[in-house]
Amino acid sequence: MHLLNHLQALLTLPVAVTAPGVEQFRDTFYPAIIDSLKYFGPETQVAVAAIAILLLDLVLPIQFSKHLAWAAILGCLAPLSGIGHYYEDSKSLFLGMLVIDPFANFFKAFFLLGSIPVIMLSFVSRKLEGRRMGEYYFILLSSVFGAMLMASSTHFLTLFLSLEILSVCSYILVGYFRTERKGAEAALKYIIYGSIAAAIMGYGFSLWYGMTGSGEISSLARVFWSPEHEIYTERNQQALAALTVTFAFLFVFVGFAYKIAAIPMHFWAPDVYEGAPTVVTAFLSVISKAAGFAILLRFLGGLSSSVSGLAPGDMAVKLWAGVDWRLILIVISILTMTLGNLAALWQTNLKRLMAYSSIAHAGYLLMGLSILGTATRYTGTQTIAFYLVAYLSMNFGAFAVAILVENRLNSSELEDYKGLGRRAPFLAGALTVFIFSLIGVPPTAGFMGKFHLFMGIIDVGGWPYYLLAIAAAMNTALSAYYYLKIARVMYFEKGSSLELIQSSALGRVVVVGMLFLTFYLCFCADSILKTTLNLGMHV
Amino acid sequence: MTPGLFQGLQVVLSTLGAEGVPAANAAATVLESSIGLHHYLVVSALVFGIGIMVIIIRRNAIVLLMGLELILNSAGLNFVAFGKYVAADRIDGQMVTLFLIVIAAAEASLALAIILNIFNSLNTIEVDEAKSLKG
Amino acid sequence: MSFSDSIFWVFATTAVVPAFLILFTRSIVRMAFLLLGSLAGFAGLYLQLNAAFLGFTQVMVYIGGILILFLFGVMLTQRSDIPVREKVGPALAVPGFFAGLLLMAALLFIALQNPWKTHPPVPVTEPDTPVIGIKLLSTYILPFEAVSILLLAAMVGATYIARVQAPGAPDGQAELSDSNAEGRLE
Repeated sequence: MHLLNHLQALLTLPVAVTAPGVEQFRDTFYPAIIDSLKYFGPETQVAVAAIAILLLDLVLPIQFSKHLAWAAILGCLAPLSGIGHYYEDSKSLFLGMLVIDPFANFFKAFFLLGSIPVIMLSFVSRKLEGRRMGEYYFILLSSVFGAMLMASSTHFLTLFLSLEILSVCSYILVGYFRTERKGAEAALKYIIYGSIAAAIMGYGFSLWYGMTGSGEISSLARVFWSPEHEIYTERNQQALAALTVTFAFLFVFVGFAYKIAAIPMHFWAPDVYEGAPTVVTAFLSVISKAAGFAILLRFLGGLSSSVSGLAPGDMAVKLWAGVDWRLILIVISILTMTLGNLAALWQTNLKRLMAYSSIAHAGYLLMGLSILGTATRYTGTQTIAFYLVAYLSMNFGAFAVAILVENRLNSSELEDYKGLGRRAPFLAGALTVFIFSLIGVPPTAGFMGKFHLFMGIIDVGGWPYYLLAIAAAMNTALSAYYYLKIARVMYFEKGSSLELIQSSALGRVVVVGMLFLTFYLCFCADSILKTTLNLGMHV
Repeated sequence: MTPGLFQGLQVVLSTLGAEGVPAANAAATVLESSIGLHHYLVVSALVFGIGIMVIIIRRNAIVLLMGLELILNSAGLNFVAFGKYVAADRIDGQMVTLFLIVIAAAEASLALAIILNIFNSLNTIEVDEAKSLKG
Repeated sequence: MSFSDSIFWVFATTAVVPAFLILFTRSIVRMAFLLLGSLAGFAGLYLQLNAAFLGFTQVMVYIGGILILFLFGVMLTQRSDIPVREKVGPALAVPGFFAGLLLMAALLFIALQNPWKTHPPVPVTEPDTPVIGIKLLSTYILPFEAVSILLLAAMVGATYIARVQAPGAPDGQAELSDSNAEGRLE
């Protein structure tokens, strides 16, 4: 922090400046901003690393651009110390634009650590070889920067902006194989519909702003539902205001749903997942989705009772005609998981199958959102955070295997996975474990994640939640069919070739790491949930 | 003269340092104007609806982008109008709109780059006709 | 109706009518010009709302920048023999029209009926520009800095994606060779 002090001394404002607002700027804003910078270290480091990579790429010969991966990994590791240092702090930063709290810090660490396997897999991916990797790692780190901002934004301008940073970077990454037909088409679909979803979200925020006159996410709950600020006393007015809030909520949800690939904004996922480079597909299905859930948690947490100061479960933001927003989430959750699983049954391409599976998993994760603001043993935030880590381990594991196989066979069609059990015993065995974890079979991380999600909704009780539990159970059974199809293809069907598939050491390191995480999360689930994932949000 | 466009221009001219422009505070006494928040909201709702129609009906990527700009503009108008009539500080709404414009510029330039690239390789920019990916 | 009020109606008409006409136009160039009209109407409405800085930003960035970009896009994609087809399939047109109409009606209902907590507008006595400048570097400093990352990423991505590749060269090779042609520092 010495450097910062020097910087502060250098930046002292000249006193002679006179213009309206300068006094206020010098006396209140400026110290607050300088103080915030201290907590903003991790994001700054990621941004600096990204730009440094871009500049290094200019001076290094192109053959070395591949090795910028190591700089990118450094850029992901360095901020962790800052996050650890301020982990427990809970504070509003940059005059109400951002917040630092354990919740944000957990997700920042999640994005940084989760990006490391992505970078390693990019390094081993043969399809990315011989391309310009400087831009690639720059965009990748910028999107991590966006995701980190997302997890800690409390003002809808920051939220919208960080969502856009993540989205714009994802559009570029999806179209990175710009000369390949599928990739280019996927990028086109992704950017057009993504921008439209974001614009609709912007309109929702404008209605929101009109209702509250404030840009803070939690303002709605604070203005409308806390007893001391009750502003609409007449019933008629309350009903009309509730209608407006419903529209604002639905419009804003369109933007979030696009990010997490939930109904009704899921349609992009299969095309984009199939057309994008496989590494990018892994990134989208885990990091981008986790960022979406992080901001949804903060957004909906702001709507729940904790802010308005009422008893838990007693009061949440009611929508039009008294509908609880959690009911809407339950409906969306059931539809999303059912559609994802049903569509996955007929897929013959592994990437496309994983796309539908990721839609289904968004449905499972929405279960955790629907218990927000109720009294359960583990809060919705805890179960979602745990499930996201579990999902990271199994999904990255599966994609790592897919990339290593793709390196050799240049295909991700299930047809080509025939006989993989003989050709690559290690990879096939690992993929089987990840598949079992994705289904939710013990003793794997996926089992524990799903178990706690189920526990949560059963704890709450009431017919909507029981219905949700039944739907989720049926969906789990349904998903077993297509996941096990992969195992059957690998072990019980004879392929045309018997040649062994070699895989690179770095790739195998990722697979082993994910295997370890998959088992570790199962056996230490309870302590992780209780101690590590007790994520407080700054109010 | 009522505040509004005239005053806006006055403000601009005085910002630019034009001499002889009477200070805008001559118009500071707010006269009764029949134009209020509702008028702007109606404009914005109409344009939003049109934008949605454009997006559903048309299939050309550039036209879809035009619908997108319409939606973003309607949101921006809402922000400025609410800033003036609802929020405590009228500048805040304008700031959000300012950032919306920048975001729109970034998105539009990237989208057009992707469209150009796809046109060079496929010779079509109909979103649903990009067909090597099924549904 | 006072002069200022009639100015509002002029701009409101300019914003809505060209936007509506986009729906019934087939030529994409004409659409771009209709969009220009609509955006200009919005700029006028911003002026009417005492947001002079924003109004002129709208003119410069939207009309001067984004729209020109659109026109370039239209011209570049119409360069070859294959025209940019524009079709309104009846299967989508009718339900799309009514879906938009329904949404529009709901938003109009909200706009007119919702009890907005309005206050009389604050009279504007001095230019906004210094205030906006100070706000950009105080309250909004974080978005202001973050947007620079967004713009940088979009710029890098756009130049990467739209780059013309050497014809006939295999993909990976093309990446290597045309980067040399660009005069890369080595």
